[in-house]
Amino acid sequence: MRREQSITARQLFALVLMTQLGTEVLSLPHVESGIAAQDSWLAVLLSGLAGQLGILVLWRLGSRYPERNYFSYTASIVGIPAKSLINLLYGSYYVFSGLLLGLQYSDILNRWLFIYTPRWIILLLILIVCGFAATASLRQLANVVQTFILFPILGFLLILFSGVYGYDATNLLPVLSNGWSPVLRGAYAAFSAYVGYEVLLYAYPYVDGKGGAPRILLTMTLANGCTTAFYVIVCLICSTMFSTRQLNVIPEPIVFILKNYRVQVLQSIDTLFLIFYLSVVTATLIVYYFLAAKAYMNLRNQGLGRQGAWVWGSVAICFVFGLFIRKRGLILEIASIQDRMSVFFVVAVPFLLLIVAGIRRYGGIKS
Amino acid sequence: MRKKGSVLFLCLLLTGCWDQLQLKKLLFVDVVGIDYADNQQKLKVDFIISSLQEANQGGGKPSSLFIGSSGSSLYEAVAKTNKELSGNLSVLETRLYLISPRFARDKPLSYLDSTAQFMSNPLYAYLALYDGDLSELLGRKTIKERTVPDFLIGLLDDEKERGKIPSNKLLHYILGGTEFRNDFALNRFEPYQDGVRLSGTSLFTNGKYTGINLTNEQTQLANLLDGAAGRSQLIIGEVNNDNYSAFVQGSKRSIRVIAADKDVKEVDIELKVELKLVEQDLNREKYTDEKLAELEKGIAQNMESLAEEVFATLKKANCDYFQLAHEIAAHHPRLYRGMNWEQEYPKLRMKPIVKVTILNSGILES
Repeated sequence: MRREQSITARQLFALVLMTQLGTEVLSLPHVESGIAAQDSWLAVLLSGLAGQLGILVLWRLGSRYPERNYFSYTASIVGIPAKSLINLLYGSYYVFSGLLLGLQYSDILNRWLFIYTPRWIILLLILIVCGFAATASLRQLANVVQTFILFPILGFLLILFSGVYGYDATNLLPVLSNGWSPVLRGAYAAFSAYVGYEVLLYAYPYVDGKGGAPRILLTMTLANGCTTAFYVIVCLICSTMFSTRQLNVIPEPIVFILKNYRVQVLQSIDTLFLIFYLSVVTATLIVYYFLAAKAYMNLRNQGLGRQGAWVWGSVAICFVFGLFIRKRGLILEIASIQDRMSVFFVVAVPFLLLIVAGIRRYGGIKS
Repeated sequence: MRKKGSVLFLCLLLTGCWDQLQLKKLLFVDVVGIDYADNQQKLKVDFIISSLQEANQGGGKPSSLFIGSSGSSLYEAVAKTNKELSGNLSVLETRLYLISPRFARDKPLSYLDSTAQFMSNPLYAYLALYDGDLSELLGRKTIKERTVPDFLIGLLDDEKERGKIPSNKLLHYILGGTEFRNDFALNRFEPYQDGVRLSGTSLFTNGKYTGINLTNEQTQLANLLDGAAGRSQLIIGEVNNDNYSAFVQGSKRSIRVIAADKDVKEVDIELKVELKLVEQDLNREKYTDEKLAELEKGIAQNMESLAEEVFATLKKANCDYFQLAHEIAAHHPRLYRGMNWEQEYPKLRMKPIVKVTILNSGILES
């Protein structure tokens, strides 16, 4: 297997932020409005805090094995056969996530921009670009992602300044009118939007040694904090600019908000935003295919296959399935399955492994 | 070589594939007029397509083309128009949706909701009402030597800039509306001499036109009471037999709900305005502090009595223009849950409180 080069804390920040963003933010205010209504922002904030707890678990797990990545050290916790099974499942999870993300964004582009262009062409173009980039090393990938970070910043500013076209803070009141139950359900629904921080599972041992584990935790916290701020602000803006009735029928309220802009020299800022946003989606997809390849390559201790072969294999599978999945209803169903899978793979499995690792270590000291 | 080849290949991807739009084939719909056809079973949809003829650097001759069509929906009307005119109708630049009173009285928003489906449709387009023959208006070549779209939109743009009228963006009303209740006042045009003019606003309740209107003066005050910023709106009136004219420099609105015994007793809408006094008798003695206070009080009283007229008209139309229901639901949710708003709003006690401060008298001393 190729030896990874180290990445800086700044690159880790970019990787985590871009992987977290994905497509969910486009529809987050819509999904949350149906559950938590005017308390969407609160649900998203709580979900961000839950994400931070998840980061603590991954960080704790990584700091136990600072020399190896997750797909390699699981053998030390649960043994080689179980490790192979876990890696196989993780690889499949990332391919599945890549498929969903590719489908979701090609669906958005197909509905919003390219009505005549066959969707498979859009999907193919996205997958080719992502597949090509995912064959790179972690450092090269981090460099690409770091370059793309300008686009979500621009997109965020466009959303933020759309507030000048009038907002109504009364829309946020009364707070918690239906109690905590919808907010907690909304927080659960929003959690999948924070998924992506698990890139730390693989990247931990390759982050520059300066500052050690605390610096890694600080970087992760900063990245998650920025994502949380992004989501909360987006939800606040959408809730104050649209009524709950409107949010319930507009699946991508952020793009809709941008239709408000009236600039003499620039037409259709919503279209521009969707093009900008492709860079975010691409970055997330690249990381997914990269992680899938790394998980498969670690099926055996001595390594299995080449990264490029695994990446292009995953891309081909996604493309073939993508040809058959065309109905939006089916894509949404797949998304809800992926939400549950995310909780399992990003929260439950690492948490269980941390407990097992703790018990084993405790047992070792005793013996 | 490989890099150059990749760059050339990428250039091919920039052509927009199947969705490329050729500028020369686009027909930019500037204004859409919607009325019922005579049998009221179908919509009568008129389009004004604007273009620039003899275009040259930095200029050209604006021209507009009128096309009328009908259909059971906006989509059907567009499809029919496509059969009569070559090119692609585009709503990329649509600036105004103009509706007739009879269309507005029925269920206008259920038809207009479909505009949200138009891709690349900017939602900053105005929605306004024309109290006259819509096709006749839109079919004219020019009004006062300007194209019809430029004339109508120019009026709206200018008056909105002066803070005298509500902004009335289409997005505010479609898909259930951005407000808590879809009650609003829509800018109203009416025929005037050989042209048209803005004539106050038409009141809508629950997305339907009530047939009741506010005058221009009432609209301006309603706009201020709705929280519009001071943009030099002109206030005119008479105190102690002396005419005054003043420009609003600053404006701040606040709402106070007085509730007791599980009931809303009164809603006070307070408006604090800062004025620049521009018309007064220059030959009189200089204003003393007492005289100025008396004038401020007189102007406030005038504005309060006009506000009471506005409130009475709004209640008569059952139009909650100030979204008081939202205020009560947000700050007194339990109280609101026990109310039947549509029945109780016309009986609601609403009190205007206007506080006037005269900041200066323009560039002359008085």
